Amino acid sequence: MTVSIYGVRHLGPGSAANLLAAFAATPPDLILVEGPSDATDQLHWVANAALVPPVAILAYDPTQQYKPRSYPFAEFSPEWVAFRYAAQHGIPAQLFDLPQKHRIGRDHAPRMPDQNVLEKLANIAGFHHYTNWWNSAFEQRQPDPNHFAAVAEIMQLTRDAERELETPQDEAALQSQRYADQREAWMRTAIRNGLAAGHKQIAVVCGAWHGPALQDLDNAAADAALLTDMPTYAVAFSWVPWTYNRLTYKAGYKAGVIAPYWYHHLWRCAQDGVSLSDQTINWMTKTSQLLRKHNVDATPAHSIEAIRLAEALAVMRDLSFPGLPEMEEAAVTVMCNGQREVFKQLYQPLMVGNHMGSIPAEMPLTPLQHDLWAEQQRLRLRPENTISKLALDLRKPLHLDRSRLLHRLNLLGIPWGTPVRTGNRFGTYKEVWQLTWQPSFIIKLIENNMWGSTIYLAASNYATDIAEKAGSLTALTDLLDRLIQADLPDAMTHLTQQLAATVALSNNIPQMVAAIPPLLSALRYGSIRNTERTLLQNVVDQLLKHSLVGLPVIAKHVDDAAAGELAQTINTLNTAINTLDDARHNSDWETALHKMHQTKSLHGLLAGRVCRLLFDGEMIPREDALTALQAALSGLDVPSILNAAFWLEGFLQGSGLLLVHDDQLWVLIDDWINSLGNAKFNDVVPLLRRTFSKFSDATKQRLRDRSRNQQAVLNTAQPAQQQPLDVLPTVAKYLGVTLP
Amino acid sequence: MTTIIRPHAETRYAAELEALRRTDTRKRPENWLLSPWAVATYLIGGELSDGTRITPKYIGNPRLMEIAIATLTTDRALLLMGIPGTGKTWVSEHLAAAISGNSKLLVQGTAGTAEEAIRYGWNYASLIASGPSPEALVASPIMNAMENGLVARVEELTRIPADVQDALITILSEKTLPVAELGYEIQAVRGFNVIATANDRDRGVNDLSSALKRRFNTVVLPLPATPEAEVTIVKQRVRDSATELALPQQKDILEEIKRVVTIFRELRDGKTIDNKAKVKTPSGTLSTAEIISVMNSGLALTAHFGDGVLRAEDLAASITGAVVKDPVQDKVVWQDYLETVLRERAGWEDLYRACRELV
Repeated sequence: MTVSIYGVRHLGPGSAANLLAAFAATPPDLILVEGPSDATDQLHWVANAALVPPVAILAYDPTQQYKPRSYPFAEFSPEWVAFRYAAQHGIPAQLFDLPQKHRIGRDHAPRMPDQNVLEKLANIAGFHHYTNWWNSAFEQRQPDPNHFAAVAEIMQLTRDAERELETPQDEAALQSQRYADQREAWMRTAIRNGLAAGHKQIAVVCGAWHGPALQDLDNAAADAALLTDMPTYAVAFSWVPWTYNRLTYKAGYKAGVIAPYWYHHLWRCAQDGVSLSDQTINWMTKTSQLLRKHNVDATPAHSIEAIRLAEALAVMRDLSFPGLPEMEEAAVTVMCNGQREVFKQLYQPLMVGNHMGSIPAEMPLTPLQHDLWAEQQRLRLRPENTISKLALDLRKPLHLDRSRLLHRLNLLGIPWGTPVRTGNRFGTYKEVWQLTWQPSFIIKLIENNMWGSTIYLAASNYATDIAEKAGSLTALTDLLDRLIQADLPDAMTHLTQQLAATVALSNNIPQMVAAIPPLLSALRYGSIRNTERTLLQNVVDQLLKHSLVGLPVIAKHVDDAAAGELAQTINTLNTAINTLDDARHNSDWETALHKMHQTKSLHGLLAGRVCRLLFDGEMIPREDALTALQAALSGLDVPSILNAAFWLEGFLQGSGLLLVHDDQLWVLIDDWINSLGNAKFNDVVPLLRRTFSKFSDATKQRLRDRSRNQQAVLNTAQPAQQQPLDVLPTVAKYLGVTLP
Repeated sequence: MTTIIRPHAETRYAAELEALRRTDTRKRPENWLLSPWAVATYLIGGELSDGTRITPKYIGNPRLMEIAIATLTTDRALLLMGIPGTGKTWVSEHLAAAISGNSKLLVQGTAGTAEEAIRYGWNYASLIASGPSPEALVASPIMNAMENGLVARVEELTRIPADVQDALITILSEKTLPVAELGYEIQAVRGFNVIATANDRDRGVNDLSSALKRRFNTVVLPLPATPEAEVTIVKQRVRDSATELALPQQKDILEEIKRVVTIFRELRDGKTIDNKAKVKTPSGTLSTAEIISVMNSGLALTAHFGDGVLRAEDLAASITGAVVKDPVQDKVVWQDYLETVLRERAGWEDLYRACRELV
């Protein structure tokens, strides 16, 4: 009766290769693998060829109270290799860690090995990082019969060193320690049970850290005492497809690695019998091929030089083979002219890899399918392959939830419903959807399990991911709109942070200003949590600050088309600032307007617009506005006249009633037009027409009246007084009163 | 006794090099005075087995030095790139001193550098008197290095006209230098290699042909990685030049240095020091060397025109000058930064106002 303990690193190709070699040397009759013991039932799927890694065992709470936990495996994971070995040789394999039914609801994590001790260990060995040291010592080597003994010894040392550390003994630390002890107690108990069941050769595959703690199986009573009084939760398991992306630290996987594809490469090479030195060559060749795709001249000659440099670096660092850092540094130095940024483009294809796993079609419902089914029941929406219409009134809670579900599914790439008429984005309570369920949605749904176990979580995580990848301001504001409709507050947090970062770097002022109104609407009408509200308000503040600083500068020297766009920008800004009515923005806006007002080379359209805004806001006296008008209309050559027409357009944009009411203004413009003469008048007619045609019919009517009867200036005011009187009888009728 | 203003590296650090040579037990490439490991120690600093302290020559990422040294052990030449003030020349000089014990085989690249400086020239008197002969040949530093298995240095490679640069191609790929006039060639001896330096920002001047680029491994020397390191470097250099120019020493200019370093780093890195906000980056380099010059001109202003106390006003003009290189774009960037970052920062009102007045 022997128990062999194989301490591995999760996602370690060298650990996996050594494990296979060890199994071949001493074939086990029971394999115990670190993982929640209540998920052991899931292991029979490993024999199914349609379960292709990267995949993960997902532990989730069917009542959705607690966050799901995932156990991802790649083809080079020692755990996966152990499962496969067991399946191929007909040996029982069990998961033997503390079951998730005692874990999923705990709000603290088990104590983890102290990173400092591990780093110190690496430093002693002459490495800057623990990972590099571990890779070079254990993962990037030919299988070695003493491998696991060496691992066990080092981990024993580390555990001893850690015991001597002064660790804080507060309540949380004690709880974490107890949790970690319970895990190891459970594992020891499982080994004892294996021995009691009569197994002769038990292979234990666990994280290297736990190895030393599983050696001594004597004190069963102490373990039993530790394993009392544990909380119990409801928990369910499922295999879900995974990606290499989500095996990285970056994707938030704590036990993740920097470069899954590098390990994939090492594993595949080892499996195909490629020598370690040829692995370097294969990798560098792949690097140069990928660089060529990014228009970098990387020839075979470059590869040769880069391999030489990588090997020279390995020698200098006393390594037997170049590791990932040496390969990367050599490629940057030789192929990318020392520019790391060039190499960084290869991060995804060369370091991470685009691999995605799949699960057998006959597998029972995945959590996401389950959740969708439950939602469909709750919201009384049946998936049908026919086209049907669904009208929603968002004031009703049920309808609102339906709308959210459809929006969330849309985000996840499952267009079950297509919005037919959304009308005004925030103004209306009505939404009309066209529903068609496609069988292919199931596949998409299963894939989406990697983002979360409920539609809400998955949509939220997925949206967070796209928010982080979206580069442009417009893309982000568009996404904001979708997030508000889908009601995903967590993703909103990320999005607003992303927005803040993008705003700071944007140079495109019209685009920045165009982003303000949707943000303001979101602030006013969207259901947003307070934290996001503050963040969003900050974003709007930043947008305004940046725009107000930049506007006077970019407003100089623009052509007619750009002036049109900028006038629109100025109007939008004005509306936004009036809506916000914040003292600082108001004064900055006034400064910006004054600055533009004083700029001599300003395009007529903009000058006119700015003058009008200053005049309307009583920021300049009427006399100044009239002087400016006079100055604008003073030139007599063709460019000046055109400019004057633009000026008028800018000044009168929005409302022409001013002309009716201000005599002096009227006279100035009248004189100007009279002074033009026929030829010049013909030049400006199109521009003037554009200005005047935009006025409302009533305004045009009154302007016409006024120009017909120059003398009856005073009378023009009368219709304005009469009009309201006309409606009085109607109002009276509604109010049920009699007019005097 | 006269004092040399600036002795060569191999003279100044002769004792360190000697100690390294004594204790170095590892394998040395042919014609190298030190093993690659000892060269690395010489540059990065450390303590030897006999207790000799080696001062660090390069303060920064030691891995870069390892790459540079590893490159010189292969048959590719080394190109050190970086914006001015990142220590390219300094590193190249020390590498040559450590490897060959000779940092003097130097070709200074300028727009007027001729082919003779890279290949060979003639002693015209003896050329005319007795015709082409090996005696009439004037060897270039590079030819010299080839014959003796030493490291030659080329400074500011990209300033050299493209046709002259091309003279290096045969030397670096074939490791030979044909002397057509005499019908023979010089073949490089093991140990020969070339360290060139080039300025990142001037790449457009005489960009390397891809044929030449292929002969070089490029190591980019970055700006200091942490604000602390940068403040230390600036403080050291500012204190040095203050004594040289006999400027009255400030009691505490550290605070001002910190502020200027903060501004420059934020603009250079495109984000605020607390990582909370991003900022736009101006077109200038904003190197450590420029911070030093800003501080120096601020101190000079204070000493000669002010009351001896370094104030925000004394710094504002030179900060603005360093940041705003392009009158339109940089100005927007700078205003943007002033309004969104400096204006909000408590205790920086004086600097904000002083800078704002100048824009």
